[in-house]
Amino acid sequence: MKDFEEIRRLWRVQSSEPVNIEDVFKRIDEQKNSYVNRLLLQTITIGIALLFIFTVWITATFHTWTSHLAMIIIIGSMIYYLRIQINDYRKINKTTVLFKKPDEYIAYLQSYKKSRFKLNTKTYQVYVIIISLSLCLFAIEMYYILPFWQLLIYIVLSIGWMLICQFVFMKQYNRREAQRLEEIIQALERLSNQFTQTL
Amino acid sequence: MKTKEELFKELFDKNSKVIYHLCYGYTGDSDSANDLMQETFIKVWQNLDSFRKQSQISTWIYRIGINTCLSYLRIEKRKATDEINDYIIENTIEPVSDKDEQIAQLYKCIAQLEESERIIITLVLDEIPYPEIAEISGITEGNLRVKIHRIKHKLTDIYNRYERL
Repeated sequence: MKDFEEIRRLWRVQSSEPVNIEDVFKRIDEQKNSYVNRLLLQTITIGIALLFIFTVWITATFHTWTSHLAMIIIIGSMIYYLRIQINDYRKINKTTVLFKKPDEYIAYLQSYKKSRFKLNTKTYQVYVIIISLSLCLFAIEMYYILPFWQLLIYIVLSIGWMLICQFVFMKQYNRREAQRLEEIIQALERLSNQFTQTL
Repeated sequence: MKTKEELFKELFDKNSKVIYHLCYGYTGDSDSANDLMQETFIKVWQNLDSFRKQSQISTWIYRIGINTCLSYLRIEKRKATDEINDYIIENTIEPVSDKDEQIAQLYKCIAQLEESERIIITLVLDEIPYPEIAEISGITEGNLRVKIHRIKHKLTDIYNRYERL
């Protein structure tokens, strides 16, 4: 039978200095570079997409103002997405919440997760609405330039796409997100109970 | 006047061992512990300028360490606690000597405790003063003493049970 003092003695003899400080500096650099690279990649991708859409907008001859509006909506939503990403990256590393007491930190994680869930599902909903709206606006242009049967195909495909987004993709996405959130919140609640009840 | 790098190196030398033990006790495997320890010190480096000297710098670092561990389990703990404990036990380092074996066994026993208990006991074993542990965990010293008494008994019981196997 061992008592706690023997456990303490055993603890003292374990080997120390498991990692070199240079490894930490190396990781700091790597993390900084990966952060910059990811941000750069996202900006370039969105930039190319924007350039492409802008070129189409300038070169194509649209006959109705609704097509121009559709273009503005798409470009606006892409710029908005890029802004959200940049702000998110900026916020990732600098935070004072890390210095809070464990129970306060857990409470923060719970509220952060819930707000991210709300934002993600809301953003997806907005995305579906914007795409649908743009397709509807383009349909007006199509009405003037396409033969009836082609217009019909365009409308059927557009409506089909909207229905798939609304009732298949969005439902799947929301269900998956909700499940993930539930798992995380359960784990955090368990931790929270330990820190608020037993401590 | 010390440069940021000099101060960081000094903090690393003084606290890395305790943070490593804390992370090892919390996760139950040395690779994750190394990873979390490095993650903790990356956060220390990134936020060193915002340290306001309202508490001891070690308290501040331990809190970052604990919160880093809590974030880690937020991702890793998608299963029930028992399943996780099995995972932790399976992934504990292969011992190379008797002492290593005993230490590995001790970490297995710590893995049987609740997360908050793991944090407290590793700090106790590293001889962090009680008032500092109370400040780190955000509880009263009286409450902490009761808790430590209970955890010591629990850990000793688990350890002795393992030894009999």
